[in-house]
Amino acid sequence: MRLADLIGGVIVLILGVAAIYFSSQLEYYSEFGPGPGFLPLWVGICITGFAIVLIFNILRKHEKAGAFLKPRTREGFKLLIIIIATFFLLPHLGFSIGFGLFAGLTMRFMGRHRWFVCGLTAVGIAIGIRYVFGHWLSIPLPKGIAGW
Amino acid sequence: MDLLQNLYMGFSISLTPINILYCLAGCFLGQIVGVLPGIGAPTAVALLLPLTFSINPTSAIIMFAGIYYGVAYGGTITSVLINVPGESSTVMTCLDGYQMALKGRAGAALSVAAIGSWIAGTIAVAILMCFAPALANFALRFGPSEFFGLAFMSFGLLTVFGAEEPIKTIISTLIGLLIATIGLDVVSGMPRFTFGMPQLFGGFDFIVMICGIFGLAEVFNSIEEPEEGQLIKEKMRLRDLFLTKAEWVASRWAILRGTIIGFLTGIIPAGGITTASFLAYLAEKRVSRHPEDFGKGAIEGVASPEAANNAASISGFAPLLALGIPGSPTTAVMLAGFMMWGIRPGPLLFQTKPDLVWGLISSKFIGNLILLLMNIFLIPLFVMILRVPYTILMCFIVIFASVGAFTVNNNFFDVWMMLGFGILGYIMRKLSYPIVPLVLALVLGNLAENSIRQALTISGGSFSIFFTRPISVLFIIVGILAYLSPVIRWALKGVRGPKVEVS
Amino acid sequence: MKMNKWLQVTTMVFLTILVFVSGAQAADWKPTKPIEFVAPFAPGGGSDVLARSIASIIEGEKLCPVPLLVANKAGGSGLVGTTAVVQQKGDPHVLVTYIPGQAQAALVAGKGAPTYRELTMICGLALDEQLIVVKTDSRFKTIQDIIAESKKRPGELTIAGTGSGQDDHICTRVFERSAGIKFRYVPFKSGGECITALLGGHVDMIWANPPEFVPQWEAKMVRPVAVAKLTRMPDFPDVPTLKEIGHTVTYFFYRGIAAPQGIPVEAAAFYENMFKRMVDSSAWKEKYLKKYMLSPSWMGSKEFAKVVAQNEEESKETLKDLGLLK
Repeated sequence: MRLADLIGGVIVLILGVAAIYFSSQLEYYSEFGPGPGFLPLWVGICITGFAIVLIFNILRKHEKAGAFLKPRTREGFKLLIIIIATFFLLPHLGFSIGFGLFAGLTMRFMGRHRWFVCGLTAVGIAIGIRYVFGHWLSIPLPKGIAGW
Repeated sequence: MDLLQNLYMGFSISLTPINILYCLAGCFLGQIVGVLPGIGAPTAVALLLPLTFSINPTSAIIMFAGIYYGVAYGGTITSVLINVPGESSTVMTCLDGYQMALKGRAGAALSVAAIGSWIAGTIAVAILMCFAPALANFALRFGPSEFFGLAFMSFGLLTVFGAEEPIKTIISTLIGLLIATIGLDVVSGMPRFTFGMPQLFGGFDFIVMICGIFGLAEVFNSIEEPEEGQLIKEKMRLRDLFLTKAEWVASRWAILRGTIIGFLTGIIPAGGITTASFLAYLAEKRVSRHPEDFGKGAIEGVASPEAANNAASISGFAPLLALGIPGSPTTAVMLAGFMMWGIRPGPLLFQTKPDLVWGLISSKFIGNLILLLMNIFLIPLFVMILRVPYTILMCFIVIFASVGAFTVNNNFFDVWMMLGFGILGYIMRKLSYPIVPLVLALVLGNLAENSIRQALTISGGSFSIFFTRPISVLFIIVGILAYLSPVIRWALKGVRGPKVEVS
Repeated sequence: MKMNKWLQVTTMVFLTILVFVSGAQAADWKPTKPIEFVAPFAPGGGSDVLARSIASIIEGEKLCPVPLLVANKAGGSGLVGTTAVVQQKGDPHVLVTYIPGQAQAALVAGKGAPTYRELTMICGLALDEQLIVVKTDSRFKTIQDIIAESKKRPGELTIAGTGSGQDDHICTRVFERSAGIKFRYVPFKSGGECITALLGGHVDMIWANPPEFVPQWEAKMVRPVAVAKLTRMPDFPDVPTLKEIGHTVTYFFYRGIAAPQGIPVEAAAFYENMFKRMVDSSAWKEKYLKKYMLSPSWMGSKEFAKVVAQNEEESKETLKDLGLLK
């Protein structure tokens, strides 16, 4: 946990330095009052400053904390990968079929529901999205194959 | 007794069966739209506008008003049940509402939200009815310097969040501010932190962000902590669904405070419903005798922002009706609607179209009552959702968050952004960086930055503009006190010794 | 017999192909699925109103076999929505509303921003009007009063408008240059915020399009003092043009339609024809032009493209003058 916290602190530090770098390219002061670069620059400076204090604090403390990765974190990763795959497929499959499939597969592989239940939910979600958003609210959700 | 006469005329219009029906339809639609993140009241009203050419404008506006305040009721449901705010105005409800749901008090949270909204709505309509023109004129006194004062004060109130990890709270706020600067800068027109990606010119939409940082992050966290995932373990009895006496006692003053804060914030143009609910929550935590319970399922933390967002949604009509100026995105669409029907809302509306104005105002009493009943009766049904196995619920949350992020701007890029914010929220939670300051800083950051620069342009670069106008001075003083409050409290403790709890 | 049958089949196939090919060449292109009609601004704004009015008029007049679905893709001064359309290159089922602000914002934003060159211009539909509006109780009775006072106190009068480096800002600069004066330009997010700031007395004057101030004008809370146009507006016969008082500030605030690049020529022609029939309808005049006080101005595809290009060129000069463009 301490290591994760430390990495977090370092990432915040990098963010702060990056903010300073990029906002220094913007105009700092305009004709009247602060320009577009004013706020981001100071925010960047503050982030950097506090990140240094934070890292220092973490290094000084030696308290024990729970592990960052938990036994079930793997499940979370699994879901993340399914979500990313779904998002890649959505523009091709369309929202209704894409999310129908997503729901069916997630339920099957993460919840171990019966195939029948999974399939039914998948179809239900596909029809639901299509009907509620496509027809009823007439929102142009991306459609993929078969015009769905 | 003009008022009573007008009100009588109003009710004689709004109580006709056809108008009750439109009011009911509006409330019902608002409720549904409120549940769906992404589709907000402005989109819903814009979608329905073409259908209203054939109906009477009074009926149409009654229906639209129903959508407008129905949304505030609907957004609560998903906030409490699955930690995905259906609307930006119900973000604060997530904090304690979802915690209450985890403790099996989802029904109580939903009840207090419905009752609080109803009380706030009814009081707000009554005030609106008596003082709409005066209120609208008050709203006009808010210029850029006052907006800056408001934002400055709100940032001061954010210090209530920093109890355990002050440095992480500050960093969280700062990152929120940094995210707020992404996109085209309103004042200079220049792109900031867009790295040549045109999709980033618009910055990050608030809804996209909260769908990820609340909804999706919650899913990842719940998978890891399975005991949190199953929300309701034992069988629930019907009376568990409603408020206990102790809960009511705890929340009644919170509702009133929320109403006042919400009403005042709502009439300010650009103040908005979302800011109203933030301020109400922060103030409630400030005045509470047990601020440490906030964020862990304090019922006042649901009652106050819910009352505030409904009061604000009603007081926001004051500038629209009395001056014809839109104070929020939804009222902007309604303004367009008025024009399409050939009515020019504005200062003359009270004289030229009294039937429309009073029909609308009286319909709000009816609409709020409809929503109260609708919500109270539906609570058992909503709470049933929590009995759905988590893997199924989880799918719904992911789909809701994705569709919500997409529909904000009909842009697929936003769906990826939502996923990014989901991962960010998950990591922040694990490393105990508080999320709310980041979210609030995103909303207040733009307000603060734009308004200070607008004010300084008006004054020609002189800072005296902030200190010569009474309202902005007031805000700035309250803000400074809030920033210093940890110091003041520490100093007082030193003098008086530990504070004795008085109950 | 067998041979005969074979010949028959071949002839039929050949004929079918022939009919199909020639038919495809001769027949007009028609949309085959609902058209996504992008309004790159938030609901309630001028572009949204235009898009929704068009969708309902076209449906009412039955000018298109498929519906037009309005999709708001707001953000970044219209650039987010414009980008989304540009990226659907070659898709003939996407349209977007186009105003000068989109071209100007793209210039200021620079790298990555979608310019008009990445779009197929379909047509220009109408011209919106730019007026200078003050509060009724303002000490400025006429536009001359404003010019006189700002000559006395250069750079002290405030004028509000929507956005930076766009229509209102550019009009301000052109006017300043022509009259030899200087204002403080205060940018706000929307026309609604501008009129609110004016009513509250936070700024001295604003730029506004008619729908943004007419309700307050009817209630005698604000009044227009000048219009940036060649001739006076029929709705405001007493309001002088800036040209009359000797300042050639005319602004071409077109409202038009564009499609992605690379769509079939036939598709572009179909849409141009469809919109031409729309602007000729009485519904267009009654439900749009009259209601929102715009001037009719039909521009065909080529003419509109020329106007857009010319406007961008002129804006470039002013933006350089404002220091927003290098």
